[in-house]
Amino acid sequence: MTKLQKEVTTGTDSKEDLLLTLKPAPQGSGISVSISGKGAVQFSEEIEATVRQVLEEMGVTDASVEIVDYWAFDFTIRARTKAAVLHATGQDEVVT
Amino acid sequence: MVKNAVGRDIPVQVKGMKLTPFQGAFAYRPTGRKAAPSLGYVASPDSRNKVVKGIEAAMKTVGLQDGMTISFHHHFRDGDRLMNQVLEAAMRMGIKNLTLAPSSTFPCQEETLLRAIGKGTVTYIEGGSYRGEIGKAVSNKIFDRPVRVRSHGGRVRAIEAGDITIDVAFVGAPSADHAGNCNGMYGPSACGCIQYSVPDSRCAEKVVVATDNLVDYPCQPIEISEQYVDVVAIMDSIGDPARIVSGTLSITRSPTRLKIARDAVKLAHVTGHIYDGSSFQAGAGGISLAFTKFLGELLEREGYVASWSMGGTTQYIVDILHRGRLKKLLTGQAFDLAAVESLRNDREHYVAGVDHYANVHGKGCLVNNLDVVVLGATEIDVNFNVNTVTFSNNVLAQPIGGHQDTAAGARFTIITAPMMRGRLPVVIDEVTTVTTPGETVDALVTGYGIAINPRRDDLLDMVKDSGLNIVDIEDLKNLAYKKAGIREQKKPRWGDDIVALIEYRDGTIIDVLHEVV
Amino acid sequence: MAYTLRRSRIYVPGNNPRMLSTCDLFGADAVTLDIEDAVAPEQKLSARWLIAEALRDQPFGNSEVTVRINALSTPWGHQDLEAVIPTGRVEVIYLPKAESARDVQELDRVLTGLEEEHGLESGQTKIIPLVESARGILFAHDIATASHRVVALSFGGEDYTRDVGGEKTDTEEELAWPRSALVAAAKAAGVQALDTVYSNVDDLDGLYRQAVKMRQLGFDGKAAVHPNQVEVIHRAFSPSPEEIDYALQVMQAIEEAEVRGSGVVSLGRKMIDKPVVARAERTLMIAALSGLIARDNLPESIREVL
Repeated sequence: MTKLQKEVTTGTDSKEDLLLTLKPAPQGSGISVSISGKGAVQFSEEIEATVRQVLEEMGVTDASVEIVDYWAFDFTIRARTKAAVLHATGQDEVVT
Repeated sequence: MVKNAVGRDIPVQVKGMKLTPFQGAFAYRPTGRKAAPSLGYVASPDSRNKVVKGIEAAMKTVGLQDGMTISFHHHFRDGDRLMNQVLEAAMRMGIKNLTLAPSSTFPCQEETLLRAIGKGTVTYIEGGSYRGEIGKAVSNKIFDRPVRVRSHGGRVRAIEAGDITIDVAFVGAPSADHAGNCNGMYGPSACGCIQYSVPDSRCAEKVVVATDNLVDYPCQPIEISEQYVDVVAIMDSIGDPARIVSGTLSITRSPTRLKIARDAVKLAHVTGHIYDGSSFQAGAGGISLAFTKFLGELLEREGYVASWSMGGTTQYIVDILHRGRLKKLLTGQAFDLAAVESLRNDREHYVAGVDHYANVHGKGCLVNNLDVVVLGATEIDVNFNVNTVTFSNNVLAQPIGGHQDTAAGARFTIITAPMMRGRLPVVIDEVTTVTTPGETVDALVTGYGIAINPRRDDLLDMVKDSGLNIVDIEDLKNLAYKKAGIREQKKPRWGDDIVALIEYRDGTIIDVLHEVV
Repeated sequence: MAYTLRRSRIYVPGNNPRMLSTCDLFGADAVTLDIEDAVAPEQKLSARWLIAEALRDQPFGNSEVTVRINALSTPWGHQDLEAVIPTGRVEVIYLPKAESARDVQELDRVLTGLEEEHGLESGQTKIIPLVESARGILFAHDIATASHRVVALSFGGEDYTRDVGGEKTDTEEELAWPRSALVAAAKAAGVQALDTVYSNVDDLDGLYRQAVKMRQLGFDGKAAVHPNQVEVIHRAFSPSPEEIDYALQVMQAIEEAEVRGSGVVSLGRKMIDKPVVARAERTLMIAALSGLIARDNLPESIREVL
């Protein structure tokens, strides 16, 4: 199980990107996702499913995720989520 | 509920209005006679003084009352000052329940108009074109009954058929004489021409010509003659010259969109719709402007001279005229200063009425003589039905313009559009709102390939060895869905009540719009 | 031997989602998804994963899919490879700052390991070393021959000029010698030579003239820094109708000589020797791949190889 150590924001407000804020949550509270922004109406199901899948792949079981979407494609959502987890778990330390 | 010819459910009647469902682009024949105002009378000398100062005086002279329908043209675009002044005056005078029938509205009018609606001064907008905050307001059910969205030709049809009865037509005229002869060509608020007011002036019960530039009698040229004019209102300003020719008029710089424009020119050429003596029309969006520019280059290269073109006129068409690659240019509205100047100075540049352009109830119209037209779309589906008024969020966002009219009339109709807008597929299974039926659309040009309507398999041989990337529209749709990461089209969510009826140019209902949730 | 068209490649900054999703439409022969110079250090982690995820599900049209990783001596290079190679979609790795055969061999080893680990065909990932320093130019031939994976050498003009303490001029004569040296090294090694970017994106005429000069030097292609440059570069690196005609005549002369049973081939008064034939074959190959000549019009010997 992967434990988040801090709050992290990834992404930008450019077209086809998203702003993703990942916050640690108490153990057992599960994953909560809130989505706003341009694609929120049409794609919130897909966006949430993608975020949850990445978190599961990376072993994160408790977190809160806030997203402001700017028509981001799936690959961008996956990448931003992944990067957020890596930053929040100190795995972004440069390995030499 | 009845299913119309494009498979949309149309109620038989709504809020007391009987509706005729769309039956096909060339199916529904009209009956009836043209609407007309009461006979005038000009024999006596005291009927010769029409001039008043200020718009309130004019409104009082024509007897503007509660419940009347008033109309405006949109030639001043986002620099219009006339409509706001009329509405402000109406609010001051305590007039209520007016129906507004503008040919279109622009952002500079939205604040005043919404305020007038809030006060009950305006309780309906008879369309027309809806965009921006007004479109949003309609989608949020600001009126107690649905509005009608109409094409340019459709608005003229409705006025002439008496579907829209205009009590007072307000004509903003950059030049006018004391008798009401007027034009849009000269004056500090010059906008090129004022053709969109012509049907109004012929059918409205009363006509107010509002001008900030009184000229000697007889005003020349005459776009609207004194025969139709009741009052000439002298005003300080009817439009802001700096903003009269405004809007998105820059050629696109996106490499993909440029390629789409290039491919559209090539497609029209190899299918025999651009030749020495052919005619064309393109819209004024970024891709259409690029199409016009590249068409000009092709005409030079091949030594062709086009016979005529129609605008929505911009510098790009004027340029082709000046280079001797176009014999005659007809203008129904001028989009930039080059167009305004050219209308004044170029012998082969003529004003053309919107009725002549596109009214389906006439005995002839310009669009029927077009070889090729290039149009945009917000969405297009696998049956080539086109949406120009909404996006997938189902909010009324943009006008129909001349889309339905030119698509039906032109020998070859090309839709140019990116396959996606951001993550949203543009090529989909079913458009959110049908505006133009697929039977009048011949080809779609995107950055990912060109789809030819199966109805036009006569064209397939011509494009085979052209080097153009011809694809199936279903494959385009699948690629769009794949990129968007969806397996099937997401149906928009909407409320129960109908807020807009999308009229086809013949007055039948091609689709409806529900309120947003 | 099959020929890969590399007339143009467009750099796509890895931290730009919009460009990653639209670069398939630029029509370049290759896209180079960049984790190196186009991306600031604090964004490299994000760019790496944006590229890796884009590699998983985005189409890239007909473009060769390449990635410019950070040098293996940097803190990022290895992780870049570990993220992108498993997707199985990387056709070429651009190795920046290549200065020795050892640099290339190190990359080769890492690629071999990753390919095996992830069930990919061994050797499927090619290498194009970026030669952008004085040492790189001096050891260019060693670099080009260091591994079977190397398919081209690419020249980085701006970094080279900085490395030797020179100055960028309008005529670019400071780059004349290193360019020729790189071409010689590449061709002697039997690989392609690719030129650096032309940074003035507004001057398409200047780009065309310069690209033609590079073709004359022996370069096979050029990097593009803006999509509008792609079509211009293709025009510059395409054989002219006259060159195509001549090449067809050469191939025809060879066929006729074979039929006659003669060992000597001539065209008009000119003797056709091996270099002329090789050039004619190459011209026709490029013409065919560029869509300038229909396959049916090609001599059979070329058609078979395509």
